[in-house]
Amino acid sequence: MTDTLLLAGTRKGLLLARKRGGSWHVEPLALPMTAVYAVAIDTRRRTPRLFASATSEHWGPTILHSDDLGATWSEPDHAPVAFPKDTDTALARTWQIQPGRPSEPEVVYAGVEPSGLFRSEDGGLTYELVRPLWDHPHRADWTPGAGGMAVHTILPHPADQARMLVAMSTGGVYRTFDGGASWSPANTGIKTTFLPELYPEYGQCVHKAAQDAGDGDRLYLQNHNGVYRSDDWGGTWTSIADGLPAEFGFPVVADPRRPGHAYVFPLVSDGFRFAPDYRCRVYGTADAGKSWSEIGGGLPTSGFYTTVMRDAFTTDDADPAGLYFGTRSGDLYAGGAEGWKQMAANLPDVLSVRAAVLE
Amino acid sequence: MTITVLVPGALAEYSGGLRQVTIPGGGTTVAGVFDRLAADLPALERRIRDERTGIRRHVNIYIDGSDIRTLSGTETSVPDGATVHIIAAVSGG
Repeated sequence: MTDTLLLAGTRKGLLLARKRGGSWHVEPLALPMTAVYAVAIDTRRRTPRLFASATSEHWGPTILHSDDLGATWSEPDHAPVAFPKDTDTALARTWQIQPGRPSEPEVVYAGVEPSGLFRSEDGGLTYELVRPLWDHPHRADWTPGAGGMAVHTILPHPADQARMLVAMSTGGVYRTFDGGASWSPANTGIKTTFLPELYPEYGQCVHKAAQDAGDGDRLYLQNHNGVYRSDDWGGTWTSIADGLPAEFGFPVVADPRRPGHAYVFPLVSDGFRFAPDYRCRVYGTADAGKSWSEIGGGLPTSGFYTTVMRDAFTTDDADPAGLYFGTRSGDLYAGGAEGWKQMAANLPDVLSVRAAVLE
Repeated sequence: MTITVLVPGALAEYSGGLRQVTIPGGGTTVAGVFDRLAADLPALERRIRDERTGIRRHVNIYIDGSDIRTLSGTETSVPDGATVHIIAAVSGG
């Protein structure tokens, strides 16, 4: 029987849940009164290291880690992520914590607001700014969206250690082929609906991107308006929105084991951010976006007036993968094609969810 | 002479459980007080100032009862024997 661990970061604390023997046990809220924008489970260690980016309205941002599956949380005395003095910039919060490749077990990345990328070489305890992206000449043109201006997606190429792709809102997708020494925009084919130019080189409001399980160069992307796939690692993007009830939304996730499988949570439009027909529905594809269908039953079928944030939808690493999402109204669901079940309710709004099978 | 820093309960875990921290005086400023805290208790100091050494937006600092925002901010002089009071502002939801 598998044992699954789930972390859910909320607007006012961190929820940890364990599935043992087929049933979930949800623990009391940890890190209360902090907004947990990012959580991560680093499964490269014998005992996975857990991460939580916690920001106090009063006392600022930090990153905590746990090496005992959430029983205790620690942090360095000095700020784990801090901008160098010469940038004259203060960290607002960390939006993404991404463990590196298995071949670099101590490397962890952090995507932050204002838009920046940090890299850790000590297992995620302390981080340093990736200067070339910070110094990018496009920076002056990147602008905040409603939630802030942040690097929210970090995708190390699974096979090529020199390649990494990040996404930010707004700014769009940027990628490096030389280990972070230089970065170039990778938004060809992604539209904007809030700029005079429909297809600019950069400036898109990409909401999330995900890596296909089989093809290292295949990516999925949920844009401010549009759902896309790239088969050349961001070189060009093609719409795969046909078959979806709407092309707006925030998260996109890919099954980590099944090539061609990806999931989105459509909302009607930029100007009407509700699920179509006020029905809570996850859509999935098994053919890399050629076709889409509603996934599972058991979700609210009417009166669903809330949304799912960009990092509040995830998969675990089982085969088939379990799916998990949280809503802004504080409900947490687990399920997939077999149907959905509510894991928790009445939470603060859910900002980030990650899950992993424990060996 | 010394300066007394009053630590809010929410931050006592970063001051070894102390609600009151004493640092050397001798003619310093608010910035100097927090520079000293940065050296002695960095996990406490970084919750009061960001990495630009600015006081966080929802933190209020009082010197002997006066809000430093009504004085000279972080350049306000802190005399020997003074009490520096760190208080969380009203915010949040």
